[in-house]
Amino acid sequence: VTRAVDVDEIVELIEEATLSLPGSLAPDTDLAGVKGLDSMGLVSFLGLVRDVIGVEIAPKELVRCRTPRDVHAVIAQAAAR
Amino acid sequence: MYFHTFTYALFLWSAYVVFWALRKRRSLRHAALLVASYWFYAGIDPRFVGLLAVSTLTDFVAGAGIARADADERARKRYLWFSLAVNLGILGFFKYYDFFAENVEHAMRALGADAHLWYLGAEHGGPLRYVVPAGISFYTFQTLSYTIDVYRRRVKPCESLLDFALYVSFFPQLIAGPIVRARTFLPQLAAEPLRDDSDVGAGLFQILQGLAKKLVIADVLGAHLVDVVYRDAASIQGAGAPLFALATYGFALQIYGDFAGYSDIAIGSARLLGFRLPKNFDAPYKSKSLEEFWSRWHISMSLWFYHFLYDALGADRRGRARTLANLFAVHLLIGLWHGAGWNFVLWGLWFSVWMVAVRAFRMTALRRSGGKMPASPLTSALGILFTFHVALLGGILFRCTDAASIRASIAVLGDWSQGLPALPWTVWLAIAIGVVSHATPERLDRAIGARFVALPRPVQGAAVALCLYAFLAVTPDRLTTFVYFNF
Repeated sequence: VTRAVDVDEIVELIEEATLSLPGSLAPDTDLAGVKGLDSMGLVSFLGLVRDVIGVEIAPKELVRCRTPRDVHAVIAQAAAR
Repeated sequence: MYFHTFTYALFLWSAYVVFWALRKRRSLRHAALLVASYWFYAGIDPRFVGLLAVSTLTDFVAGAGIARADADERARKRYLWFSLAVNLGILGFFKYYDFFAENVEHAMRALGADAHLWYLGAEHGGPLRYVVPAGISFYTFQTLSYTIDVYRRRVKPCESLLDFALYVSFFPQLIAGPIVRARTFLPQLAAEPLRDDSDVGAGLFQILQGLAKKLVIADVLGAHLVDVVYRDAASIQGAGAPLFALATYGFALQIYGDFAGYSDIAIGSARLLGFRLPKNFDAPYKSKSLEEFWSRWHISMSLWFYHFLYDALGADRRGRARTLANLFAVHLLIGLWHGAGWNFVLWGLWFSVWMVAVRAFRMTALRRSGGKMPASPLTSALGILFTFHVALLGGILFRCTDAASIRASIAVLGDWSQGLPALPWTVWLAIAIGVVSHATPERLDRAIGARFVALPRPVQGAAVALCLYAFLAVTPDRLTTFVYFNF
């Protein structure tokens, strides 16, 4: 079941997926500087998005995302499909 | 009861009919599925059904206890340790005790003491034959993930013992995964299942893909190439370098076909019952780095170690040396998770060393280049070749069960006096299909799946029958078990 999420929830999911400390990221954090956002972090994040939000997205949909806010926009768009 | 048998097909069909007949009656539906799951487990090894129930009860009680303790951190920790002690205690005793005792005995004898320890396994004079309960590593990790997630407040405790027992024992993924986290599965139990015709087509298609990987790739390569060459040290030594090399490449495809095939059948079976399980393999030999390899190979296990062990050790948050030490420890334990044997320890060590070396190299390169790593088609191709061959050579340690075979594997590489013998055409077919399955773009794979789903049901049935006929024509006569059933 797909459900709406706000950008703070996306930030928390990215923190959990990348094993970052809670509160260490913000909606406008540059994702290029997030150490744990490697292939494992990405797979973990996509799994969390599927389980928690109910949206299936492909890794390539996130290629242009620079910040968690961008990721939120992509997920919101996917949820609306 | 193995996935690639007529008995399983009959069992799955019966479960499908009963499950959907009870669609509107939640408790009865879940009870029926639970009985089916325990029946399935008992069909593989009835002696250890009780262990599955103990593990289930332990984590159900632990999860409820953690939730009840609420703000009492000490009580919450007590329940967490209770779960860890019971689950890891059972796993350690049944899977690793004999290995431990054997090595202690060897060490004591080396020191001159006359040691005779008690053993569990019949091959050492103990009371049990085949001492490792089927699927114990998988369901133990699954139940543990639930308790740890409840402890971390990432999932609410399950209030229904029936639902929780079904989460632990759900038959498609009970024996060899995918290891499913509670928040993936429990919400699916809470919702009324939606009967979607496309699920039937998609489930059947994935089961067919799994059977192709198991029967056409894994079993053919196993019977005609890998198991012949890797039988023992003498057969390895007698093979000569070209055949040994081919068998080693063959083993890379065999183990992939065997385990990815199992996962496909598990995911497809679950889909027939309206459940979605996460992908467990994603063309792993296309990985450009070792890190990527572990995010494509046995994904659910990799993620378990990543979320529950690497994270607990501090991941990459405690500086360079600690990050490397954590990577080393995690990959060593991944090796040991696969089995109680020195070959698995060495296999884990092999990956540990390479992971640490590659990560240290990357850290240094990133520092020197100001945070940018060059990427080009050439570096990607080299990355794929390097990663595949690290996995391939590690496969020798995985496949050889004794030191003499490992020594023979090294020695035979110097023997180029023999050419390749004539091999059955099915071996080349299996290799070709294994390679093509990796080279096929995902969108093409999805498009073929979508075409299958869109076919009328009788045509789907005919296609399934035709595929099964073709698979059975190619696969060896003898029934082989799945490699990962042993773990």
